[in-house]
Amino acid sequence: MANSVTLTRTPRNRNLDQLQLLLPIMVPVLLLSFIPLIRGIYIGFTDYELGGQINFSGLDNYRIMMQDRFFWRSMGVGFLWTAIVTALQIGLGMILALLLNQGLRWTSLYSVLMLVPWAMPPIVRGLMWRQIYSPDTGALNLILTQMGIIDNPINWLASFEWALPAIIVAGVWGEVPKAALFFLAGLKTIPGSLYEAAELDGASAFRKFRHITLPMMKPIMAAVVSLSFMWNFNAFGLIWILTQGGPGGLTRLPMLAAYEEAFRYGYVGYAAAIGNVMVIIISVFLFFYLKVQLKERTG
Amino acid sequence: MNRAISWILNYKGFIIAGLLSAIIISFYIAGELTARNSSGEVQTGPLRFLSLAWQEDAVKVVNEITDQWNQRHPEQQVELIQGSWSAVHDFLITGFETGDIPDIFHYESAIIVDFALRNYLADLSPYISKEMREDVLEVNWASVTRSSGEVIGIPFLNASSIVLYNPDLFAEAGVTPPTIENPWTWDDVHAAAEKLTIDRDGDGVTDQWGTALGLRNCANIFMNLSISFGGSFFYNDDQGNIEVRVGEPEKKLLGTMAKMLFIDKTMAPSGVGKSGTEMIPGFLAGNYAMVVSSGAWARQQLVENAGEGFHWAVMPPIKAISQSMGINSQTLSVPNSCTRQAVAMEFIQFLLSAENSTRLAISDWVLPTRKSSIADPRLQDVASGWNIVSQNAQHLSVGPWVGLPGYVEWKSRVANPTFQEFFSGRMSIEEVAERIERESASVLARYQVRGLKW
Repeated sequence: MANSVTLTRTPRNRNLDQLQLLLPIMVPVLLLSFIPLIRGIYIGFTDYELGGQINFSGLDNYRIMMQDRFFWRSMGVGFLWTAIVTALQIGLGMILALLLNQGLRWTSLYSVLMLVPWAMPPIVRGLMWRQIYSPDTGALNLILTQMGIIDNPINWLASFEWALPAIIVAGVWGEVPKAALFFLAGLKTIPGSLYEAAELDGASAFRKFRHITLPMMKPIMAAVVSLSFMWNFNAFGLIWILTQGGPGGLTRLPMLAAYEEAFRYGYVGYAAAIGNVMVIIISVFLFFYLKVQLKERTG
Repeated sequence: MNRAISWILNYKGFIIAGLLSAIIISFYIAGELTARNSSGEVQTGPLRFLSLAWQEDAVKVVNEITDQWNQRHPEQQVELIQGSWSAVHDFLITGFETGDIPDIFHYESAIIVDFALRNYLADLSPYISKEMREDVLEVNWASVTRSSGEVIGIPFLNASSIVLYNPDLFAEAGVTPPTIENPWTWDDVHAAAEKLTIDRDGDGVTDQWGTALGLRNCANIFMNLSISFGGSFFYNDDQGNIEVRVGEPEKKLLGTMAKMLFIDKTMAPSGVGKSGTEMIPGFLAGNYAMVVSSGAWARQQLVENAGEGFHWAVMPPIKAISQSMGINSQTLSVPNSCTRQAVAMEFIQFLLSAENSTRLAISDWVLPTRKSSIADPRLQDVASGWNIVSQNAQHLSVGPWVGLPGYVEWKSRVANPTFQEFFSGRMSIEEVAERIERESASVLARYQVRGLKW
């Protein structure tokens, strides 16, 4: 009997079987993740306001956005933040990974210590950095005044000159470990024989890095840059704790702007529309970035 | 038979998936239904009351009064939920949208206006007792009553601001503090601040500042102060539309502060980027001779934290062309979706009875709204500054922005950021005026299009 069932399976049947295996997973994903997502995208095309009805409004939200100074300003801040944090994170992560890959003593201890910042939730990182930056009791002001670098304590997070650098430092600090961890894993996969061959040819350390390490790490770099770009562009918790987007909207990243629109001012539809635009921006960036990366790999 | 078994084997996955989705969908529908029901069905169980009292004594008093109610009303219990000012907004917004909202909640008059415009709030006017209506100050009612007569919240504490000063530093510098009969003008403040700004160790760095003011989110302070300068930022134009203008009175107000901060250098620059609360430790440390605008509640912090031998006092409101100040009060409201509004209001009347109002005000060190409480002898005490706080009741007035659709957004989107840039020294007063007028138009336009009416 069992045999007859097996024997009668056609390729179409096999597809069905695969579908059956997937379904128990797919149904919850569809219901709990996909449907809310679709609903979120839809709300971006409505005039939904807190306390009001939800009416389809087509592209109205996007037309408003075109002329919305506050929106463009926060997009500008968002790109600046994302670019600087991602670049620093990649650079410092690579240096850290190379150091950890030198086979020094206690490497595993260093690796664990390195991961601590990343293991903290962004809110906790924010609270910690807020303490460090505090104008009255913060460690940073204390150290700088005692070293005689500054006379009066600086209110880092409220200053128009320092707020953005301050949140960037806090952001990079938390994100470097992720990059370093990925890079370290990548470094471990490069066959030692490549380096040996290069050494026989008399290649310098820099040339070995430039011509062996970097090309071999390309796929991992592509992954880390993509993930970091998405993650940093969508940053919220850390900045919310540190500056709430201030002073004067100087650190209002797009996600904070969307949050304010929905929860402070009640424009839920418009906030969802900002979310939609952010998804499109991230997709476009990733599309071109990965296309270039993949082309170089196959070529 | 065989075919049936093989069919089941074949389609087992589909069946399981179907069952799973049925379960999840039914949960979803059940959730939606209960959310809807909350506005239709009669609820039982305790009424939920969200309190934002946070100073230790105030929390205690709210708890005591609630317990008292629960003892006297076994049939209608009230469950106290302790909220916090920093999280209450998101909590309430999500509550209103899902229908899961406390039956009575504590917030402030300036913001519940926005909730009322979104039809979240119940009209409490039919339930207010004659005694309460007559005892609470008229200006307080004016700030929570819509043009239709609906009352959206019961005001019970006035967020009036006070001027704190350090009498020891005044005596040392030979400055005589003003009296209720002879209040200071801003010129007097400027002059006194000059004498009170001192470089004690002669290293060229000022150690003691004449004045201090927390300037981080200072829109509230400046809106309320603007009235004493004869301004108000918001004006009615000929067609009855509201228009934002930064004219001479408003410029004078900003200029008065800027003079101390940038020209005389008698106002502590550390106030830029700090909240009012964050100025108190510096005042206690003797770094500031005056804090020119502080919440009356801050006196509780002083009593609690002042070191041995530290003295403080409250001076009468500083006079520009008048001593008037804009009103903002703490309120108790009931959401529209509450099915037991009458009972909820009964509890509010109990919590805010004449006697309890006085207790709440004293425990929170804030000016009450009831005339009988303000007249209480304990609120005439001089040493704790209560006499001056009580006097403030005469200076309260309702700004033209009260009830204006979009004011909450205007304050955090236009006013606060612009003031922050101004006090960081990055803008001139003319630029402030130009920017506030330009940005106000675009922010308020969205609300005017919708034709919302207070």
